[in-house]
Amino acid sequence: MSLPLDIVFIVLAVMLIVFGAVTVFHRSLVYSAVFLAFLGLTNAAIFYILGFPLLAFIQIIIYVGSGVLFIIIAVSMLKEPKVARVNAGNEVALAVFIVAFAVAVVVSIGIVPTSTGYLSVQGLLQYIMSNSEISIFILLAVLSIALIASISIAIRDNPK
Amino acid sequence: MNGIIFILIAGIFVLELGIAGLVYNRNLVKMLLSLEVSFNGAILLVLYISWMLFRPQLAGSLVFFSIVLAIGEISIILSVLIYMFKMKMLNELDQDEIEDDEK
Repeated sequence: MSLPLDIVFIVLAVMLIVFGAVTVFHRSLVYSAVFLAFLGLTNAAIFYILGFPLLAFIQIIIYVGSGVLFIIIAVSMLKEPKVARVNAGNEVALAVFIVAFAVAVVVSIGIVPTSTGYLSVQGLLQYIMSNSEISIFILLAVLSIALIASISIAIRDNPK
Repeated sequence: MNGIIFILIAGIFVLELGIAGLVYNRNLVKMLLSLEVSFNGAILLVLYISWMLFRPQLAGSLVFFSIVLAIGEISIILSVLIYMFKMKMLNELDQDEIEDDEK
């Protein structure tokens, strides 16, 4: 793989880790949601480079454009709660996290691929349409139910 | 060294960060956001592994469906949280507060 692409991969990996860490550990909910949007955009860039342009498009339009934006708007309307942390077990969780990460790095070094595959938009759409008609119908039903349920929950009045 | 290895490491790191955030944070919205972080890491790993094995169609359609379903999940969970917060069922979006109220 060429040196410029290697640099792009390194920069994207660092951005992914930084945005993930800021999303998880930032004190403000709104900033966390904003950095989740940046994390989604970085993920979309990686999808595109890996050869999944349709998934990159869906990640940007659907996940970042509607999902994360919905989180940002909903969280901005809430009163910002005080952030509490777990007191006990932090050190154990951190130690497990570091050990798991070290093991994952050591294992992953042995399975580096040497060339890329590419999945075109037409190829993916053709595959989905020919193999997953029932899944698409179930997906549409689930999304419709989610839409109706969330609207009915949101407009419900106080029963008292 | 092949630069693509950093994407795999970053995917694993983000997945673990999300899980750590789920354990570490006690705020319900923060827990949802941590879940979304780990979701991003998971789909990145799925796509990376499928790309490595030259079988992208199945993973592509799987990730396509999972992204769309994640949106439904976010909308339902946030609606319930906002409803509970609005109806004063929750004073704070804080897990410790809820556990104290239950006692």
